[in-house]
Amino acid sequence: MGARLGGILVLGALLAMALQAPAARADDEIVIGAALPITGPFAGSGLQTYQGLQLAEHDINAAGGINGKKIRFQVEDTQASNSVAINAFLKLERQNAPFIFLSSFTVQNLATEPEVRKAKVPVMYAGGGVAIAERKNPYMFRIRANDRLRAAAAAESVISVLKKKKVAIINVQDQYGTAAAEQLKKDLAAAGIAVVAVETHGIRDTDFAPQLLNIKNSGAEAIVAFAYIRDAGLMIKQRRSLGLTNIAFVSVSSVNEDSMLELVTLPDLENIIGVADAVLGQANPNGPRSVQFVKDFIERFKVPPDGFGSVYYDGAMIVAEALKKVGPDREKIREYLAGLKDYQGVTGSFSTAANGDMLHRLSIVEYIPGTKDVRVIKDVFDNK
Amino acid sequence: MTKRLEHKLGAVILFLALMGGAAFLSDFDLRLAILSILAAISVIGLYFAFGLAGMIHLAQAAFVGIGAYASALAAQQLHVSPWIGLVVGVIAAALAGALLAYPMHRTRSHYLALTTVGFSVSFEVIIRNWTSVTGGYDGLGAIPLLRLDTAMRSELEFFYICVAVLAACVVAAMLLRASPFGRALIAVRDDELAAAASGIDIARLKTKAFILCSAYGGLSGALYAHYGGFISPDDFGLARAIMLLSMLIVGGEFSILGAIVGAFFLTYLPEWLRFIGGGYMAVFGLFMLAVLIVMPKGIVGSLGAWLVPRVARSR
Amino acid sequence: MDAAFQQLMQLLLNGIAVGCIYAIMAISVQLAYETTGVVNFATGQLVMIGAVVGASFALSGRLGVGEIYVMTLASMVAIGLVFAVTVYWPLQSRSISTVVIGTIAVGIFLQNIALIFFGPLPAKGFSPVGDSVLNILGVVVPAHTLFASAATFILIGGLYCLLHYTSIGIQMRAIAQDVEVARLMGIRTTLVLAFTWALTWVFAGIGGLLLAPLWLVDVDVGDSVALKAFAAAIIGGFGSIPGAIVGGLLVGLNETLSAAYISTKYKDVLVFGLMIAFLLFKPRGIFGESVNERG
Repeated sequence: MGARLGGILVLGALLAMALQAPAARADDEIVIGAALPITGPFAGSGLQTYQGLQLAEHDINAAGGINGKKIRFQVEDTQASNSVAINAFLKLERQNAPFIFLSSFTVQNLATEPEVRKAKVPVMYAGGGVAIAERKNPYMFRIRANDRLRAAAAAESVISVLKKKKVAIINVQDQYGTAAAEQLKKDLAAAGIAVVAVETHGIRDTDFAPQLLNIKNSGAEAIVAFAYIRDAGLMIKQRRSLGLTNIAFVSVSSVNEDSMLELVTLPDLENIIGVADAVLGQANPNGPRSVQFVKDFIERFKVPPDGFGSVYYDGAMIVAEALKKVGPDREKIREYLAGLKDYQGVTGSFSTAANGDMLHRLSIVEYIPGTKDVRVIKDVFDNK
Repeated sequence: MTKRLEHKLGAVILFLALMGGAAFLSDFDLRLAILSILAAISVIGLYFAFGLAGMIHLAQAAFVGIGAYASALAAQQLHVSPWIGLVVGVIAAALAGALLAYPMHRTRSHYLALTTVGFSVSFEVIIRNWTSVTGGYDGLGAIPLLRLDTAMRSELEFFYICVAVLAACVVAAMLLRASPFGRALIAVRDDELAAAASGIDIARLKTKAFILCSAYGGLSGALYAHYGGFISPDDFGLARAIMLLSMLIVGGEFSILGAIVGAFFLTYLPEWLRFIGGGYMAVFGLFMLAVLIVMPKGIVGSLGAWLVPRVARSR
Repeated sequence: MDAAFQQLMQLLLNGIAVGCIYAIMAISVQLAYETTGVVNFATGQLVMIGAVVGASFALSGRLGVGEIYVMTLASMVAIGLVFAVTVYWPLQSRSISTVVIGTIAVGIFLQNIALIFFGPLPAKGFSPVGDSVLNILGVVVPAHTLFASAATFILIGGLYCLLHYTSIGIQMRAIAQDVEVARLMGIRTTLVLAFTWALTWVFAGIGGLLLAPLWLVDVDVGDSVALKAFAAAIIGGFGSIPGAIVGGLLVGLNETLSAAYISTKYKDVLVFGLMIAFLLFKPRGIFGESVNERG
């Protein structure tokens, strides 16, 4: 077959490996890594996380950067694959980033966790699965409320807000939906509430009539739905066209996001409340900062921020603070984050618990009649 | 004679230099190399099923998955060493291959392709939902790693292990190809009617090729499971199966070298293209198309033809 | 009407609605097979392009629904012809496997180009008959469902007439039987093939436009439906128009009925299992003509 052919292939391979060499970095900038889904089916949720970081980059640099140096967020695509997520992480780690953001997908976070431990680089992630915290990795910090709290908030909304006794659950068939539904069942059982139906749906299913009709027949007085934006939007529309608006509906984490609200009309939202990841703007405890954040975000991206955009923004601002105080040193940043208490961000208040969770609040919200805006009925905290 | 010896010596020295140089590579670079090698092992299997036996096989990732889960579960639940796990993975995948191959042996081209597609998708659904065994969407973590416990970096050590396994796979493949089994496959590929007329039991032959392919896939999967210690259904679905077959076709479906080249090329290409930003996967699609159009025999086939035009191409 | 019966009726209706869309996509798969001799694995992306282009025109807010449809389908034909010339023509004489992988590469390209232009966020679809919902004896019938079903039957009926009663249709069928003989008989094969190819894209585009109001529009809509379209084409039988309808309806009904009465988790395994069974034991499908060895 020829030594020539073999030789060419080997040379080609070496050349290719050389192309992988990390790009030269300007000395006067600090590069922070972010492994986010930019292409593939997760790109929709990836977009807000990316936008949050972009706005933060702008704001940090506009305020003088990190002690004079500019900050830059280097984003690498994770697609929807765990393997590619690990590739993205390792690529960023190789560039000696002092800090890396991971995506909001629990399974990607779980897959990357061993590498984080090996590399000893502090990371923030937004996957809600408690399984991640159970790994007890001191380098991982969760900047979003975890799914156990989400389920607890859903339980609270049924028990003390809606005051219903017979509940149906419908969850997306993936790690998040399954784990959240399990937790909710436990919480409701402990409160003596009957779960009369549990339905599941696939991501990107198109017809929820089978599930909704089964729920109708079960006599449920309230439905709790753990679903992603697109599925929640469809489900809400189909609920109305099937005439089931008399059954109260609790939408968990797909309630006040603009991308969801765009898909539904006002009448669709009848008798719906939700558990919101973040209530931004005036209603936020950090009102003025939050209002400014929303305004800047809309100006830059033409869409309002949601709970993902805001936590990544806050995360980035926290990292900037860390860099200013302790410099681009991985261990020192890790220590700083581990000890963070009461940082007031645009989403809420961040305090790091022993298991790495930083955000401990969710809000039960309802729609202001006649609008798609929400107001907070009740906040739910986890006890850390 | 001396020239051949020179070439061989040169090749050995080059090989040793590369292996030595690997010690200087970062974990990221080693990971890409490892992933390429693991893919190459699967794709060598496809060389038998598709390159030789002509079956358009879009379910190889499922067999990789079977090998991965079988090995992981054996190591976790039965507490066997990961090395034994590799054997378990291979056997599990081969058995599954046998189960699927027999009913398929009469099916042809597109229908075969679509059958494998259906199997791929069904496999994904089952793995995702059979939570008690596979862990479902959460995936399976804390899988014991396959290492030799030397003083080397973990990633580097595994890289060397993979290189050794790949070498063994290549030698086995070459021996199989030269064997009566291999020659019969080639005869069938060239002219199925004539082969049948000369008494070859085509159905059995194809079944064997399929099982062999599954075994290679299972080995790759088992290695993968004990590489990162974490597997999940995402890695073993239709998209991955399509990618594996593409690796063979892009690399050159008529040779083992093609399988390896294709595996490396399509593993590295998306990473090379990252710098493009948001549209890089579109460029990836274009690249694949370009290679298919411009290099009809795949990279190895076409490069080979361009370099050595006078030598008769033997498969 | 008692509740269980009502539920059954609702599920049947929803199943038929989605089944019609699968039927249209199955036709697209078949037409592509007639022209290229290959199962077009980019069918899902073709449907997605139809939905996304339609949604983009709609979002611009300046066009009437009829105009949107026409412009979308015209775009589909244009894009289809570009692909015919740049991809399928050069790959024509290659082995089946190369063309199959070629269609997959085209799919990847289309998916990511759409992502760049349309963005990753979902958008609402729009329907020529609006959002209204009828209520017939407790069964909810969105007006769009009636429209989609009617459109499906009209289009497929129209195609049938085209194929059997018009000159070009007969030429299309002749080429499908044996392209060499057709050429020898004086049929201008290139033009007819181009026409058939354009129809492939038009049907896919219509599938995309019809599904948009039901399922919302984003660049991933194609993935899940593509495989079901193949299943529909196979179960119904390649090369058969009534087969496409029957296959499509069967797959659609399976979606809703299995989800409700058997299992929401494994409903896909059921339909693919059925597809595999047909492939192994009755590749002609229910109505299929004899299996031609092409290529």
